[in-house]
Amino acid sequence: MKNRWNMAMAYRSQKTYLIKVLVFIVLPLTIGCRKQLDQQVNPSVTSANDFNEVFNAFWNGMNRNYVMWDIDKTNWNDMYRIFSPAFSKLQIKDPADRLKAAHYLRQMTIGLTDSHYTLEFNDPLLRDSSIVPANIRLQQRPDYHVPYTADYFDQIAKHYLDQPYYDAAYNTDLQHPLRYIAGTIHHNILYIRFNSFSIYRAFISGNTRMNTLLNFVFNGIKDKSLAGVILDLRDNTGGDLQDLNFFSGQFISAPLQYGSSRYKSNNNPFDYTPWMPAIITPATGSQQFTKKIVVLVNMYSISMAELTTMALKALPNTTVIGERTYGANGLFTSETDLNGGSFNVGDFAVVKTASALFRFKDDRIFEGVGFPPDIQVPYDESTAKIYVDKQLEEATSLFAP
Amino acid sequence: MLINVCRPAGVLFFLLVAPLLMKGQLNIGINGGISRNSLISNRGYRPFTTGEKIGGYTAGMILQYPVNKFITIGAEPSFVGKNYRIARSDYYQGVYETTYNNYIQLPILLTFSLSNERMLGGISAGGYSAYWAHSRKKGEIPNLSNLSLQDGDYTNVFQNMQRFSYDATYHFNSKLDNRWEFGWVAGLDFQYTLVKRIACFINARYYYSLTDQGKDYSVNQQQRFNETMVVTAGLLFKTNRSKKNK
Repeated sequence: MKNRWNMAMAYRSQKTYLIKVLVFIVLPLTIGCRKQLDQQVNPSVTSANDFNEVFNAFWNGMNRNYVMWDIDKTNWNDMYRIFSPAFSKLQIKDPADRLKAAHYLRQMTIGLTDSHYTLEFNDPLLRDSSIVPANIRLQQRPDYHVPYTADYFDQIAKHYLDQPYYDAAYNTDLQHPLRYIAGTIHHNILYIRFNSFSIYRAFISGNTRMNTLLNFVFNGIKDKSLAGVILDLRDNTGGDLQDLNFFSGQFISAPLQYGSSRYKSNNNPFDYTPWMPAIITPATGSQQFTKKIVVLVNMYSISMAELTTMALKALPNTTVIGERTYGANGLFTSETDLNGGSFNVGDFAVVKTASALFRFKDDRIFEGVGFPPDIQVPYDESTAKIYVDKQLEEATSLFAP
Repeated sequence: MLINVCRPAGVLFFLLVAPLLMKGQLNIGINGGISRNSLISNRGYRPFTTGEKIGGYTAGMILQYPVNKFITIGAEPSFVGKNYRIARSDYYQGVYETTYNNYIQLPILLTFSLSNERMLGGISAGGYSAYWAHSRKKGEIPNLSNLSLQDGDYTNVFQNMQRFSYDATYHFNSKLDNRWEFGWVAGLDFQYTLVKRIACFINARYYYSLTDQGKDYSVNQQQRFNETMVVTAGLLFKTNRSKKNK
C-alpha cells in the first residue's frame, strides 16, 4: 500500500515537473515576439485629407526615393523633427494654411543637391508656388545672368556661319520645342546648335527640314576634310537620354565609358546599387572622330546637355568652353522602373527627382555644382546685346592654324 | 573585427568545455545541414517586387549537458547561411538581387526529451546570439546609364536598359549595419543510438530574430529581420556516463 502511494506521488511530481518544463520552454516564445511591422505606404495613394498625411507621404516618399542622401547636406531626419509638428497644426481647408504648407516645404527642400528636383502643386491656389531649389542656387552664383534672348542664336548663326546654313524648328513635345541650327564656320568647322535633346525623335518624325539638317550634321561628322566640330549646348535645357547613343554615338567606333551611375536598391535612405558604368554605344555606321571637338556650355546647359558634354569630354580631343554648367546630371525614368525617383504626394503635389545619381569618369560628382569648362569665357552682356559672341570666337580660335 | 570576437570566444569556450569533457559530463557532436531564410520586412508598396526565401548551408557542433533523464542543456555553435532574394516580375522579369549572409551563431537550448534504449525524441527552445560575419550580393539590374539601341516596343526592361550583372562582397558600414543578432530558437530533436556511445541525430530549428539588420539611423526606416529554418544531421559522441543512465 505504501509502495503504491509512493509510486502515485512520484508520478504526480513527475507530471508537475514536466508541465513546469513545458511552461518554461513555451512561455518565452509566446511573449518574446517582435512588434507588428507597419507596412510602408505608397505616397501616391495617400488621400491627402489632412496635412499630417500630406507631410508623412512627402517625407517618407523622399526618404525612400531620393537617390542623393549620402551626398546631400540636408538632414532629412531633422526636417521630420522640425516640420512634423508644424504640419499637424495646419488645416487643409484653410487657404492661408495651404500657403504656409508650401512655405514649409520650400524651407525643407531648399538645400537639396538634386538639381532636377521640383515640387509642383495640383492645388490651384499653389500652382505658382512650385519649388525648384536649383534655380534659387543658380541665382546665388556670382556669375549669374539671365539666359540669352530668344533670337540670339539665330542672329549668331547669321553673323558667324557660312552661307547657306540650316535651321529647323519642330516640337516633339511641349516641354522641348526644338530649334536646331547647323552649318560651317570658315568652311572647315562644323557648327551644331541644339537648344534641347530630342534629336532621335525629330529625326524619325518625317519633318523634312529637320531631316535635312540632321543628315548634314551626321555627314559632316564623317567628313574627313573638316577641321573639327563646335557643338553649341548653351541654353540647352536637356531632353531625351536615348540621344546619348544616337548623337554622341556618332563620334565613336567602340563603346565609350564616360562615367557611372547608381540608384536605390531598397527603401532605406542609404540603400544603393553598385555603381554601374555609363556607356555610349556607337551609332550604326559611325567612325572614330579624331578631329577637334569643342563644346560650348553655360549655366543654362542642363541635364542631357551636361551628360553629352561629359560624354564627349571623355574623348581625348574635346575642349569645353564657356561657363560651369547648371549641375543637374541625374538620370530620369519612371518610379516603377527603378523603385526610386519621382513620385506623387496623393493629389496634393508631384515630386520630380532624379532616378539615378551620375558621376563623371574621374569619379567626381558634379550634381548641384555643374561641370566646369576647360577654358572659362564668361557671359558678357554688353557684347551679347550686339550679337558678338566671345565664347564662340574663343572656340573658333582653337582651330586657327 | 571577426578575429577580435572569435579569439576570446574560443578561449572562453575552451575554458568552459574542456573541464566538462574531461569529467565525462558532456555529449559532443558535429552536424551539417541546410537553412532556408526569410527576410521579414515592412518594405510595403514596391510594384512587381517581392522578397523570396533562399536556401543556404549550415555546419557546426553540438554540446549537450544532460541535467536529468528528461532535460538537456545544449549549445550549438554553428556557421549558418541566412540568404534572401528580392526579385521583380512582369515587365521587370529577370531583375533580382540575392544576398548571401553568413552568420556565426550560438544558440543555447533547453531540450525536453523522451527516450528508450535506442531512440530519443524531444523539443527544444532557447535563445541565440549571432554575428553577421560576411555578406555577398549578386544581382542583375537594369543600367539606366547604358541604354540599348532598340527603339521602343519593349516587352522587358532589359530591351530598353542594358543588363548590369554583379557579384561582390558587401562591405559592412558600421553606421548602417547591425551585425549582432539576438532572438529565440525552437526546434525538434530526433536521435538514434548506433552503438553504445555514438548516436546519429536529425534536428530542426527555427530561429526568430528580434533584432533589425539595420541600425536605427532614420525615422520610419524599413526594418529587416531574419527568420531561419535549419535542418541538420550529425553524429553525437556521448562522453556522458552519468545521471541519464542511472
